[in-house]
Amino acid sequence: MGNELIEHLMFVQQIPPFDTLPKATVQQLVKNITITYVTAEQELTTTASLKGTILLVKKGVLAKKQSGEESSSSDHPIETIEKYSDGDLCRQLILNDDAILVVEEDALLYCLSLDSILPLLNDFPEVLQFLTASPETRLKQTIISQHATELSASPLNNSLVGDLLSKSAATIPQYHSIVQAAEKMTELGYSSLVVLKNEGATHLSDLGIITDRDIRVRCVAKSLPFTSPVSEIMTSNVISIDANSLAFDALIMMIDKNIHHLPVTKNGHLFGVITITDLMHKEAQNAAHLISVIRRAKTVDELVKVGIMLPELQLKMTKLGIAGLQIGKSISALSKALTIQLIELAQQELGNAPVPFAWFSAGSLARQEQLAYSDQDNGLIISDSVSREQLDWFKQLADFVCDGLNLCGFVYCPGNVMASNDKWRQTASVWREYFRTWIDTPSPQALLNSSIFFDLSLVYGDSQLIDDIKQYVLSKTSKSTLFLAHLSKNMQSNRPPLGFIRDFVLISSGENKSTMDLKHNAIAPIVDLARIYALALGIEETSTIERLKKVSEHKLGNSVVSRSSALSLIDAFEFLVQLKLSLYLKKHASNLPVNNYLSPKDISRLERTHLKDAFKVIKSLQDVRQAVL
Amino acid sequence: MFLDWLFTPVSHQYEARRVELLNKIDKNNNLYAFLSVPMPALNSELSSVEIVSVDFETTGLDAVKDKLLSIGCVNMAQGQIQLGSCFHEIIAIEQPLSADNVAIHTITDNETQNGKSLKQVFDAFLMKIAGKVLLVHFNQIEREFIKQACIELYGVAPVIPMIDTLCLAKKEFARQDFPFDPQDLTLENLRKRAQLPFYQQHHALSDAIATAELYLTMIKPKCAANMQLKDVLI
Repeated sequence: MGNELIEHLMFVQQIPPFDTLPKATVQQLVKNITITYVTAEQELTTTASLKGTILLVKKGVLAKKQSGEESSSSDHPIETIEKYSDGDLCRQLILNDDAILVVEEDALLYCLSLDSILPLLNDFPEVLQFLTASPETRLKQTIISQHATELSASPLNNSLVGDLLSKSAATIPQYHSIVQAAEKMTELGYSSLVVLKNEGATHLSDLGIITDRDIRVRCVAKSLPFTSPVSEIMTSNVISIDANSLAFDALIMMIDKNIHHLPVTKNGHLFGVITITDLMHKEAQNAAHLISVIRRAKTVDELVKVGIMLPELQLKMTKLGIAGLQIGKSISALSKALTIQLIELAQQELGNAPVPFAWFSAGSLARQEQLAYSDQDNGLIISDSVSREQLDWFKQLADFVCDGLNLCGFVYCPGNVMASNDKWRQTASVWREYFRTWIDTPSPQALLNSSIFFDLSLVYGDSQLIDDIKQYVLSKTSKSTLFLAHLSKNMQSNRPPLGFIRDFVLISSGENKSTMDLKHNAIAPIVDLARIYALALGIEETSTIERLKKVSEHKLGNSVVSRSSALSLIDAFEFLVQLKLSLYLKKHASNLPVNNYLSPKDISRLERTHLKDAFKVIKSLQDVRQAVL
Repeated sequence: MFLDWLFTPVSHQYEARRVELLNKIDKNNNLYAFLSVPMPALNSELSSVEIVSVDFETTGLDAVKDKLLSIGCVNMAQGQIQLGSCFHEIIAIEQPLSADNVAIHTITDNETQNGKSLKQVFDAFLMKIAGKVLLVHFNQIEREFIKQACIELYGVAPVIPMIDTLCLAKKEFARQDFPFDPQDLTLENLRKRAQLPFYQQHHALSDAIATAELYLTMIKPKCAANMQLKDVLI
């Protein structure tokens, strides 16, 4: 066939998922194309000759439409869900849903019958999956492959078992008593001992192992005399790993066998014992190390030095391929540690607090989703026993901490949601009154400003103060439909920027022209949805993922959102956080200001498709909330 | 019956001519197989007619003096162009190509030397179009070159039913009283008018597909159900 169909080949080749196929396969695909021309208003869903085909729009516009809640009712006119134009792939005719496909502008279509191309795609299951799966399933697949990358980039994959051994193995002869073993373990602070079956011999076959669990399960629970020899309770068929194996393999082996201690051998002889804690420590080394530096800091300057390292740490973790949510947790933990240390330093300067208080974080930090480059959101709940004179102490504390956080890189909150603001530094009864007003007589604007206070978590101080408020809030929100309705309505102002035709709706002017705001139009809507679900069901969790997980497990969960939608939302959230982090990485690498503005041109066509999938999931759930009103 | 025949233009008498030639020529003549396949009747429903869109690239406009360089064609049935049926062959010619001519069709001397003989290509081409209606843009070229080649190779020339997108456009312009310029009738400009995308011009197969697409915009598949072959035939 030569190069005769080169134009058609090039056209097909650039459309995902065909862009991942080898040229020879695309050439075969092209031979299966039939070209047809359809005219405006024609309904394609009922056109017999197009049944079961994938459509590539060469020219023209198709619209996917769905009738409203009740198709017969005139109150719910047929609504356009999506449009397809030049260069778009439309799978509507192979999906089994009740949407219809109508020609909006005369269109030239390249049609590929799914049956005819199936044999060609046998070797490309991911392409087939892409073509046939629903947006929700496609998103799931992306997250799974992201996790796979993450595992392969894990530090455990770059270290050898031998390098991670923190201590040499402690041994005990097999005729020693269980009491002696327990004493030795306590003295060394070890949770396992290697048992020597023949004194001095360290070959694997001469070894056994006992752990504190063996003493518990095989001795105490079975009323075996403590004077029995350790050989009675040891595991003698010891599994081991060579010191030159990858640490990751050790982890997999331990998870697989459900063991926490693994003897390490070198040339077949005992070299040490590695524990699951050793491996976990390595995995979290960077963040863990920084937290200990923070705890030891004596001055604000020392803290600032750590604070300014956070963006760097975040980039490093992104480069390593660590999951976005994990990074969010690490950064949130560090930010929390910084705040705690600042409060302690403040107390050294100001003297101890006159009455109990609770310093809380709101918004992203409370949800454990804070990333470097975020601003601070916090507040202070003071015990009702405070006197007028004592309030000044709290003002000084708040200023000290907020200024310190700002120096550490968590800039002042543009909305002034900070404990240094008098409004957000109040006694427990004033806070209770705030929440009562927001919930009982909600006004849209007030809610917009206060929604982050519904994601609260204690940073420092008296947990009772905050727990009381949270309980009060949840007991009210789960009953207040008016409040939830207002919250749902507010959420509608943050719609995903998904346009009808081809691509995304982008910012049309100003310095962020031709970009979209990932934070406000993509991540925030999911956070909002999760918050609404949690408040409606009285779920205490503050992190978005935890909220969604709890919703999906809740016995009344289906009344607010279906289980599968909640899980799809989790996938969408993970994908978007990951995308946001790699956006930061790219901006940082090209010396651009690090912000949330993403240009669709800067990501691959495939990522764009996944982004659209994520938006579709969000949009459909927002629509459901709206329909509930 | 007789009156019908009297008022039927010669180009529409393809079926009578086919039967006449079939009875006349030798069974060993390669044209015999082509002539054995009946042509669709003039009153066939247009949407059921099998069409082959064809384009020739030549060294010039004179079918006697000039040479056929390449043939491209693609099948169309029920309003669907089937890319799997594409046919494209370059023909070996003895004379060197002139520079301006190469500039148009971009077939080089080297390529045409590696091409097949006119007979090989035409034997195959005729089997592709047997029993089908030809779709072309500006029918004089294809009509004259087919006639010339058939006389050279097989000694006789059949009448082949043809649809011409240029004639269809001219008729439509006339119907709308649209004062057109000859320039408006090129394949490229008609496609632009129909808002069809750009294509690689002067490549026989690419032009054949481009012509087929243009035809689909002119005779929309849903209209074709209410038309007969004779309504569009030249």
